[in-house]
Amino acid sequence: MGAHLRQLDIPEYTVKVQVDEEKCLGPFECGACLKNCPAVVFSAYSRNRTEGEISYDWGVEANRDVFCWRCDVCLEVCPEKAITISEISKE
Amino acid sequence: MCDWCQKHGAGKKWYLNIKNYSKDLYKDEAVIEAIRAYFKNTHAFSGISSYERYLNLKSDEELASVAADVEHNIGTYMPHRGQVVPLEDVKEIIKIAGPIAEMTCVCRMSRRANFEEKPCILVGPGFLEYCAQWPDYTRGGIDYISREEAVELMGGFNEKGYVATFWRCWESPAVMGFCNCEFPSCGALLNRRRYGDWFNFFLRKAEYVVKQDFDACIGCRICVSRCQFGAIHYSPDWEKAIIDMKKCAGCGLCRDTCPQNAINLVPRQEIPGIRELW
Repeated sequence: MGAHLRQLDIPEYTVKVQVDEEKCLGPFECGACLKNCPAVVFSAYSRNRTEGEISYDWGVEANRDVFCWRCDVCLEVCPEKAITISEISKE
Repeated sequence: MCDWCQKHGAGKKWYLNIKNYSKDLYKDEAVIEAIRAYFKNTHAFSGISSYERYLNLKSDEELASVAADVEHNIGTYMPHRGQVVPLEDVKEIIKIAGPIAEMTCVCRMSRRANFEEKPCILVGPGFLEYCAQWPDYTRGGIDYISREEAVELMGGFNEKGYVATFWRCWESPAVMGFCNCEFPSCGALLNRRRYGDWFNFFLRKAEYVVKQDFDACIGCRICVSRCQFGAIHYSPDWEKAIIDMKKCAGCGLCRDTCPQNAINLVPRQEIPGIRELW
């Protein structure tokens, strides 16, 4: 299995990065994790969008966390301590 | 040159074929639906989203079936949605393009929450209408600009060090516009660098490739910092820059700043070893 994953450069070990939606200030108000993460793990997404209107309800999610290499920069820069990182063990 | 290019390029590069700039291409309902779906779906800009499924596979057979699915999906896409273009081709495109407008970058908004610049230059009549329906993606508005202004802007972006890529509409050969971006913020360049040539169903290298005059290089290292594809490195032994032509995407950023004119762009077709490497 490893050979296939290595072809795509997806690391086999993985960590789970989670953003607490309650605590998070939002990407445009704060955005510290988006700007500081060297692996570009985080992205902003809109919760609901309607045609012809600007949506102000944006959240942050860690959807590329397979690329996370555990530098823990996000934990340092997050003012609300909304990010948790947990390791998933592969057997 | 791929089958798609031969079909829609009329013997030339697809982006210089005047047919692809016609508004008639937007008469097809399916094309318009595809554009709407693209604007509705924010997660489209978050990269390939099913990693988790791939990582939790239990057996080799399961992995093989998923890999076959992925290959099949990519095979049914229309190939190369975007392509790297050097500055001289940018000028050719602007000569034949219809209305031109600038707007903020979608990738930068979702990746770095940044609206400060307007690096996306939309060309062609069709796409602008649909952008205006989703003001989320065009915060700060769409500004129409003249041809001269567009050339000047693109020159400025090139000087700054942004790679210019040219995109088309998802389901048809209708042109969409230029994207001027840099490595970690740009969705296409980021995935291109992570996945390598496998990703060429989305972003293709240019029709050109750079060729270095090794003797003329003085090792000033300006080109090393300009390369967004990680194709150039500095050799401390030779005290010169070394260019990996297999990785080179042919954007011409290094050529434009070389003080010795030691780097030239040549058509990719002329180099047999990398002719098929897109």
